[in-house]
Amino acid sequence: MRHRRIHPVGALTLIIVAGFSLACLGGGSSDSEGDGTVREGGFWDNFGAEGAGDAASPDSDGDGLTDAEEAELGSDPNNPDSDGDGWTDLEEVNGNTDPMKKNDHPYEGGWAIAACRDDIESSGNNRPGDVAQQFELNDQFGDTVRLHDFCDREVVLIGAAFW
Amino acid sequence: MVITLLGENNNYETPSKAELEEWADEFGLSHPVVADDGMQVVFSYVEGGSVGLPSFNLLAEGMEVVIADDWVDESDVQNNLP
Repeated sequence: MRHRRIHPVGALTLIIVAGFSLACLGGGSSDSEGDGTVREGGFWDNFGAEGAGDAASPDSDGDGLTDAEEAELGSDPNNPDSDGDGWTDLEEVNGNTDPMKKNDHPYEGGWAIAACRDDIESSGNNRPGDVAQQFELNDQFGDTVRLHDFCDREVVLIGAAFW
Repeated sequence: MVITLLGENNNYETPSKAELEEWADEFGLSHPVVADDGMQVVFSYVEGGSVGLPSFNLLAEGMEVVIADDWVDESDVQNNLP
């Protein structure tokens, strides 16, 4: 074994540091088309779609994305959940996940996924000054958590064990 | 944002989903609690062959490593907010 055991301290420290948990999210948003879909941030910024959700383009599957927007995304305009993962295409777009990838969807735990998730390039060996290496580990909800999904905020990683 | 990397259960095995849930419930954690098989991620932040648990690492916005395998206190967190 390469590690030593200090579990009681660990449990207390976990709670203390958890208190520092800082999700710097939020900000105002608006539904300028009045169709129930807020088109801001992430995909929408790249799509330049403010105003694209107007009545000129139908929403055949009623998922909140117009057929024109679905064409841009490559999703199925006749299926509100194109990849069949239980999340609607609109939820995925607004959650910065891919509506065409079944194993890529918002977290059950509700943790926001940052739009910069695919822009992070790791460097070095996880030493100070390096850009942290990606990891993909399963969480308490059964989802695969990807570290770089949280690239827009500060992250504290705590290593612990049951014993 | 805090992520708990849970390395082993009481049998020195990778924690199951149920054990991750148990850990989160026991400590009232609403952040991700993930199974770190073999503590591979924990050890990736360590220089040398041993680590004390709990271990702490602080990443700034953009995933820059600020503190690796050392104590992280409130001022560290405050000083590295986006």
